[in-house]
Amino acid sequence: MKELRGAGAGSYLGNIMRPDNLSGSDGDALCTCNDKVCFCDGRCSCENLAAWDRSRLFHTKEVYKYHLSALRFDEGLEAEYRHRLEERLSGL
Amino acid sequence: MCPDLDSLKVSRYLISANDRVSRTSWIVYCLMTNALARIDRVEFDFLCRFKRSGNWPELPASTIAHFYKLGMLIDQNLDELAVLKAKNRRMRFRNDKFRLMVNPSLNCNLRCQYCYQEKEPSGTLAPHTEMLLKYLEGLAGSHSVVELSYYGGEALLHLDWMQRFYDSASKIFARTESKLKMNNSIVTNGYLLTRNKAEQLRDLGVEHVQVTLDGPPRIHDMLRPTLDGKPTFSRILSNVEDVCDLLSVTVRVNVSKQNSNDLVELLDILVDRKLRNRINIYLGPTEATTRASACFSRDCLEMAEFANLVPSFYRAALQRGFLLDWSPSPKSAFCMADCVDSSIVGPDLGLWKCPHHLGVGELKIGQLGRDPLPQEDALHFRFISWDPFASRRCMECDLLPVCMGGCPDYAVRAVGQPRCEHWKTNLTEVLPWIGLEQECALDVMPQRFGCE
Repeated sequence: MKELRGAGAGSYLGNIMRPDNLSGSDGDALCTCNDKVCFCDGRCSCENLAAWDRSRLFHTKEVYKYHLSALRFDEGLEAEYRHRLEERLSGL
Repeated sequence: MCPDLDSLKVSRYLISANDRVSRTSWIVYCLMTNALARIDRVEFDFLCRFKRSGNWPELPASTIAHFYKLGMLIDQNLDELAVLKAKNRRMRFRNDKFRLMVNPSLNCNLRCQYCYQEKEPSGTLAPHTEMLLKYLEGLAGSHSVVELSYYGGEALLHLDWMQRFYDSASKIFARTESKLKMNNSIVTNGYLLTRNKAEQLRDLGVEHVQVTLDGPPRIHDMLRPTLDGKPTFSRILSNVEDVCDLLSVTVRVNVSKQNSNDLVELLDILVDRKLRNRINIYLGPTEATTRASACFSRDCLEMAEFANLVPSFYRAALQRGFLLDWSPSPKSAFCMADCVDSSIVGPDLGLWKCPHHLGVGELKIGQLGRDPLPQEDALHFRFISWDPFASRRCMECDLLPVCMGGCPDYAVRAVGQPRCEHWKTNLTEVLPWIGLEQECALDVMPQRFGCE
């Protein structure tokens, strides 16, 4: 098995049992993407985190697993990513 | 710590799809936890057969523990539906936080063919600022957090007022125990989104904008011209280029029969403009559920038709090197319409539950400055009493954790029954593409960020 994305918010029970552990420092259990539970499990520790907020997300190494779209590509990284995609898609 | 195999079962909310590239592995997605993994044939057989047939393959304890960590194996006694119901109740009936969407006006500088909004009332909120601040003061007295968001019409027509209003509201909240939060996202058509405006938005606490591009210029300009019929594509795209380092930009493409064959051309334009991974992009179906948009109904796609477009769009985007990261994710409630402590205030101080209702008199749930009328109360109660857990279809649906019954307006009012999201039809087909991009991105990231 290869894990591609971790289990959000620690566990789904976390939403009920540990609401203060979900989205950062202010004890507010829900992030500002309004209806979605924040999947950072408190690890990003930033207030007002939204899933697509590109600017604040590399507070910990773990966060990338939950917020892939937050990845800010530079040219080199994007080229590497495209190369991987091309390799895999060429098999189709 | 992983419990005994005897005390475990497979989550009922797993969806898997054979990997189109390797054919010998599967992508498995847990809708309860959002976890995603690539698994081999033996692991796939295990998930399919564990406790469902007499025999299942043995797996190493470490793999069992990993499945457990991802929520794919769960405790035998855990009732996942009960968990979902509790999450839903908690989200919808929490009373510590109030969400207020403020619409400075319904005015807009574009005349989109499929616009769902009424154009009346035509005034602005500016003359009613004091009354709205009083309302906020009342909310501060009864809630520990009030979250403010702006919408429209075209919100950027009123950016100066929005900033002044937020500053005044902040002063009121500074005198209370309550916190005022600015929602950090805003929807705009992008026509006025200059760098100067983007800086103003940042000052206001906005970090994310959604703009709309409906295809290549010849299509977009036909669907989304200015009020006097001029093209808008070129200016919007230039604005996106100018601001995407300041704000996180998502491009929404409203898909209809008018542009469903031209979506890939838009991707190519974004590649040419070097915007490929400086923005996010996703598709949304164009709908005609309001009076204002009724004239566009024949151009709208059925949800199943829209759903069929998504996998090929996803593949085309990956072939061009995009990272879409567009996938469903668990939610506690669908939107603010079915939550008790939320309102949308219009330019006449009317209150509504859904942005699609703005300006429609008979869909008001109240009016600031007076008590709600009986019919307004009745509509409000219909929304907050809507319950996806009373629908057998939803209770039996594998996608409930990511849709929570779908659009409440559709279920309560427009049609009278829940409407399935497009993922219901296409998730199995899209899943291999989601897995592929996730894996490729993860494979390159550790090198840069030192991640394990």
